[in-house]
Amino acid sequence: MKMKIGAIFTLVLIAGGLTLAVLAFVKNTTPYVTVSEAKNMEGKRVHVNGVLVKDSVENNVQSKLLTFTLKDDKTGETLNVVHKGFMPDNMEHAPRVVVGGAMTGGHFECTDIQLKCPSKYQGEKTAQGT
Amino acid sequence: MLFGTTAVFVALAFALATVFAYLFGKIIPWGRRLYLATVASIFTVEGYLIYLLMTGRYEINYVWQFSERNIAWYYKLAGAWGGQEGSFLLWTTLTALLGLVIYKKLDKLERPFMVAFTLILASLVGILAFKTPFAFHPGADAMGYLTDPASGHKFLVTDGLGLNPSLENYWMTIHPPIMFTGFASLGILFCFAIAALVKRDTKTWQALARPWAAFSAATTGLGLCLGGFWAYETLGWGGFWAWDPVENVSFIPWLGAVALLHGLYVFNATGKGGKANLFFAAFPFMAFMFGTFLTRSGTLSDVSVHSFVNMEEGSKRLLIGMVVGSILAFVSLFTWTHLAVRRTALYWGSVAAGAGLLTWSLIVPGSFMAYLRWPMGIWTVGMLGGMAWSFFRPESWSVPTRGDFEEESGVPRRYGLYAGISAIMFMSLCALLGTAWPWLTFLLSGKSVKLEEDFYNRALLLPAVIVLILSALVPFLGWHRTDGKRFFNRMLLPWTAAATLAIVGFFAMGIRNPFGLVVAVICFLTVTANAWRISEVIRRSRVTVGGFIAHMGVAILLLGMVVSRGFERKEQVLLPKNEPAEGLGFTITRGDDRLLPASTAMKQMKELPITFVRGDQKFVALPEYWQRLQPGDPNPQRMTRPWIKRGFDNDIYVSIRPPENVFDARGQVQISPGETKKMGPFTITRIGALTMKGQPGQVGTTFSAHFHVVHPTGSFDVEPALQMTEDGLQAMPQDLGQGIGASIGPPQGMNGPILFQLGTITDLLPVELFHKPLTILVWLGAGIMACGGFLSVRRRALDARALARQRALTSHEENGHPHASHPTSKKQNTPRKGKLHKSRLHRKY
Repeated sequence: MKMKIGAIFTLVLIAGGLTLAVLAFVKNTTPYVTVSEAKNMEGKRVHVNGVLVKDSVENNVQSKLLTFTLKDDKTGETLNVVHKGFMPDNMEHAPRVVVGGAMTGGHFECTDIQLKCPSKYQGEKTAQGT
Repeated sequence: MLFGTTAVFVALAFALATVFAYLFGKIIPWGRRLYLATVASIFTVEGYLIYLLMTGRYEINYVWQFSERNIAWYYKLAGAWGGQEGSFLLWTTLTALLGLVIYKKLDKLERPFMVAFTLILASLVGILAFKTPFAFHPGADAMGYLTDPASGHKFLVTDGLGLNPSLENYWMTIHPPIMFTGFASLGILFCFAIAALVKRDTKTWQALARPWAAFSAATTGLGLCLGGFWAYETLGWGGFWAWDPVENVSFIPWLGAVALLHGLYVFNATGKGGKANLFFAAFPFMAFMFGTFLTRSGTLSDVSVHSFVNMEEGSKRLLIGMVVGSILAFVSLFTWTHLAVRRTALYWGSVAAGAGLLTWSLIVPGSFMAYLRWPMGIWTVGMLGGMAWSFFRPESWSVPTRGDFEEESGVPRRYGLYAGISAIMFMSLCALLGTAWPWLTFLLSGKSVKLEEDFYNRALLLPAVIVLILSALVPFLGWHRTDGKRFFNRMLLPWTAAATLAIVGFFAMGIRNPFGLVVAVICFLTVTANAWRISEVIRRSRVTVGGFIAHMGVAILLLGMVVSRGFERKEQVLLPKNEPAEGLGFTITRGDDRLLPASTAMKQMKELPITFVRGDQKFVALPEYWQRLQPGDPNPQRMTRPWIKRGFDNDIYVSIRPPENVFDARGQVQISPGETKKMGPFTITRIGALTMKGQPGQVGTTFSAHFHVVHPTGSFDVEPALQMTEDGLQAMPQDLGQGIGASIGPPQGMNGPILFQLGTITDLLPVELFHKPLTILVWLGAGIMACGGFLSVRRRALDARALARQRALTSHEENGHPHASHPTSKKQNTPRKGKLHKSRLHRKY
């Protein structure tokens, strides 16, 4: 009897753990999509990787609103991105940006921004002299 | 540089020679000598790179990229692991160093162990050979001189770019060497598994590997904690851990090493679980190699902040070779020695497919992804099929355990530990799945799918709680039988103490959240139970307490992480230059910026003092704001560093963003397109209608108006704008310099009149304040965990030494030759050894 309770308890724990993991898994998968795909996925959380359009970054500190435009590498399609909050450091220097969020009424409401900052990586760099 | 590159190739030659010497050499001393030569040449390479960094040889591209003239010596030293090649070199050097500690103490496992180990070393040196850190700038001549395209003059680069400011922190000098020591030790665990499989000896390694499992767990764990501190102190988002792939790559093997540590503990006490331990020993290295491939080769560069964008093709192939090779070697050997499948075509077919894949990935150029699917698929299906086939023929399992243990000794504690190990491995595999998912989905469907941070938090919560509870319960279980009543009595005090402490503590802190309370009670339980256990066993000095201390540390650390992140309060404040603001109950005032001494004129470092006052509490925060000017770039690179007011009960975390200018109108005039109007000394002409960028009515759309302004000393053009936000149109004034700016009021149609404003511009400092309760626990927990971990390493090392001495004695008595090759018969079993083991049992448990 004692053994049985232990076994049942263990099974319940294992089942619970697996269920939680599977639920967490199902809830948290978000695809990486292109700009045009993102535009057709209103309200669904996605990640978009694109080129930051130069001079499109507008940072309004007082309303804590950051807006910028992402461009698709291949098709050249653009996406207006809106982020509520302060601008990340060195935004203007990032050639590429990955944004996570969802389309809401014509613009992309972004909750997280990842900058592909050139200074952090070893891209093509050459010395410009002394 | 010729010398450095030559040294790399010499090291490679020695490493390969060592592999062959251990593989084919009749006598071990030759392998050992060559190993020493390999180590010496690797040290030379590392030493030479450090020499170049210290003496500032900026004609070398690597030195130029990761160092500069006027930085402290420890940052110059840190340049040695600041970049991709340097960090591979550090990994290689530390692997060689750890090998030096172990290479003579491997008993009969020496030959297979060292073959695998030097093969790893050779691959690492090979990666460096493809891309050495010693190359000159592209386009340089044989002496490192560059030619100025304009004048044709030759010149030598005399200063470097310097470390990325976000890396310029004392942790940069401390954290990577510790982390890479941990990584290097994973290779040792892997080689133990391989050697044990080759020798068909599942026992010897389990005693030898104990100090190394503890060392791996302690070092990797410490490295993880220090990485978290680094992130907390510099990144400005107020946390320690973000489930970034690069963080996961060290988290996954750490859990694996912890599982192995406990598995070895079980085996050495009961003789059970030897096969699983082989997997736990091999897993951390395989997972780490796989993770390194994911994060270093550019595969995950979209997903991770840390990821490197690209890797040299040859190095990448070698890295892939290491991943595939290590998994192939372990799985094939394990299947060969443990499962009946080995005599089937299935086995050989899948091994051939795997080996083919390995060769292919090393030789054939092209996208790895493109051809990975089929060979890898065939191999996986073959191996899994083989295992399934064996599973249905259990009578044919060949189990090479040299069992000399008592049957069924101590079910309860063993099962408790198994449960814990399973939960730990479950966490590790979940993290691995999350890290690999974007890559796997890309491989299978051509589209990446990311698993969000929340996945880890949810999936790992329950197993983490189970592990904590088990680490409070299992130490009280006996190896043999546990008397329920006595067990309960012993547990009563720790349980009551934990619950009381947690509840009282939490109500005193003002936190009344049931989830927090449950986590707190469990963490406190782990702490008090293990403390209780320490007090019970410390009088018997022979019993180790390191493990219990480490349990306490983990619980405290986890409590600190959960509480300081889960119960933080956060507020965003815009702080004007000259008037106070309110945030988190503090009155905040900004002082005058102070310029800090910077290494070069290109860098400008400022300290922005902010005074915080709340009741009697007063302190000055000194967050930093850095700008780096780059020639030919109008916008400086900007970086901020948070400031932390550390306290006993909470941290106040002050994170800033670069200051922004805000407009205050002093004069205005209504003006239509084409009109010219006067305002004080200014004559203003509006040119054209409004220009719109974006879609009408959509958030983020801007409208700008163009003006030509003439005043007595000159003229200028301005283009202030309005932006659509959720609160309506917001002005976006234009900065004209010297504290003056221009702005516009709401428009009346695209062609209608608009209000033009001139005024002052003041800067506003965006400040993010975090109130983080009990963050001190994170530090305390990490410290306690590390102390416990290293105590346990010391303990296991002493054990292993004593065991080696005893074994040398027995083996001497038996055949008088410690290094004679032993027959690999499974039946070999001396009563003497059995007795030795039993006496150890009684002594320790």
